[in-house]
Amino acid sequence: MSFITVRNLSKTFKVVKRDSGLKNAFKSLIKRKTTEIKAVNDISFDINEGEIVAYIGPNGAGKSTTIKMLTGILRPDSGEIIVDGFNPFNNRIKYVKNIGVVFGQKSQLWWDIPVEESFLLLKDIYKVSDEDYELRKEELVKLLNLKDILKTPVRQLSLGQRMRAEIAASLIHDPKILFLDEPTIGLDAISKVEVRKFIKEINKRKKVTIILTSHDMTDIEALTDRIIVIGHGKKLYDGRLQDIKKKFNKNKKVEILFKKISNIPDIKYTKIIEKKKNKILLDVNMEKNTISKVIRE
Amino acid sequence: MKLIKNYLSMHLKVSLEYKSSFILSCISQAIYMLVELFTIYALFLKFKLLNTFDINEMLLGFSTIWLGYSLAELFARGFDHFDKLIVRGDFDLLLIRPRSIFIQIFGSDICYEKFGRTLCALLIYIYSASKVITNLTLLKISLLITMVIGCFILIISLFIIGASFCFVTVQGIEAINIITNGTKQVAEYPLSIYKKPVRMFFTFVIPIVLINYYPISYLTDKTGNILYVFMPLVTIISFIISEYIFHIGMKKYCSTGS
Repeated sequence: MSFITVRNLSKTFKVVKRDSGLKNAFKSLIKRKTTEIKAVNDISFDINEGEIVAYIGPNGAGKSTTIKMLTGILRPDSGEIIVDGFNPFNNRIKYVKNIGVVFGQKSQLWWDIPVEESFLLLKDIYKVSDEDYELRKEELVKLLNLKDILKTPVRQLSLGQRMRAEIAASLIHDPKILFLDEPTIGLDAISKVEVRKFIKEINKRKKVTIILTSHDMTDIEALTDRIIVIGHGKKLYDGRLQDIKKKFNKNKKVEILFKKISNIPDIKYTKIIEKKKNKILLDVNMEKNTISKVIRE
Repeated sequence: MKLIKNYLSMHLKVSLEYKSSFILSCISQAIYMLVELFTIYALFLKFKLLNTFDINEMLLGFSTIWLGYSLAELFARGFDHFDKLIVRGDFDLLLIRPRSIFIQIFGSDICYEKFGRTLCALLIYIYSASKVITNLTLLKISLLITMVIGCFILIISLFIIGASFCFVTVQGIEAINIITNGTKQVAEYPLSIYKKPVRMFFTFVIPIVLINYYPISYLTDKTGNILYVFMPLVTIISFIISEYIFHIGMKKYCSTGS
């Protein structure tokens, strides 16, 4: 059996609908129209130990809802989740000992006091022994380059520094699985690259299974091969990133501007869609051809 | 236990980070209580309608409630302002920790600013108790302690019930404030000024009078009934009920934000 098994997972939310305007706001006080939204609809997948899986989809596709069910925050309406032999919602306390979670938009660090204090509290929450704590702290400080910020209050950190501290905080208890919900949100290009590097390093060194969501395709490209795409609560794709690229990037439209059009040669695997005075639009099959080749001809 | 100690010290560190704000709010909180005391005191002097209670007994009743209430606000602010925890989505973060949710909510907010008020109430409590009680027995001392603890537990229970509603309504509802604040305000005055239905309500539904009015009549030797000594323990039942309601509410929880 695989490390994480998800079968036919579904979750429905009731959403209150009302039209804009004060009048309608009062109206909804008396009578409410609710619609049911299937945030997650019949999703199944398996993840092996040590894998990095990117979970992608547009806003509102149900990514966070799935993550919340996988972390035991929400109870699934139907379906089954088994992670490392646990049912996340029913065995919450035992289960969460083995996971680390970083929500890009929520902080688990204490805003007003130095980072290290938050680490110490987490150490007590997870009942980590003193020796283990010192060892891991040292390792994380080196890995995530935290030396200078350990004694700084969180409110004075930059977003990139804070995200590094957040990731470290979620690893203090040495979890087997790490959930990263948009870990690079709002970060600048350099910090993004750094955070990616750490994530990869952690995965390699500690064999931590990582599930991440992100809107940044470069994030995903840099980190993982396997992606799961969902939209409107349904699973659309599960497989290698290269494959999906091939699947949807087969043909490219190329527009070529000429000073003067002479005769157009017949190019293999290329179709002329449109022909104007000094412009032609071509449909090029990328598998068999390249753009530069077409232009040369 | 170690975790609770840790939470306490963490919040103290946060409070001390903003020194002047901390001291000022400590003082203003105490003044707020004293103003309320002054109002009751003035009323008390003007109309002698509370003829069964003398001024020190009234002070004792008043300070019991305030002491218990301030302590509850100090330690259980996480429940008092539970809607914030839900709206900000921080409740999710508590759920991913391998500890009891209750302890974590207590630990999520400890409001040391209420310390000024607590100290003030404690001083009045000790002063009025020393005036009221003529012959101090061991039983009376323990009753003095259980009165405060009972009030503390009862107010916390009300906070928890209020918090349970947040699972359904998300936003905290003002109706809950009527119950917590209203109960406190009712109990500031001696019970004898109220009509019977009100008295019944605050004896059997929200048993706040069991922790100040009745025990005080034992302290002042108006009654020798030993049963009065154990009345504050009734609040433990309230706590168990509130905990039960909270767990029902938690099943309805459906998180906010992404």
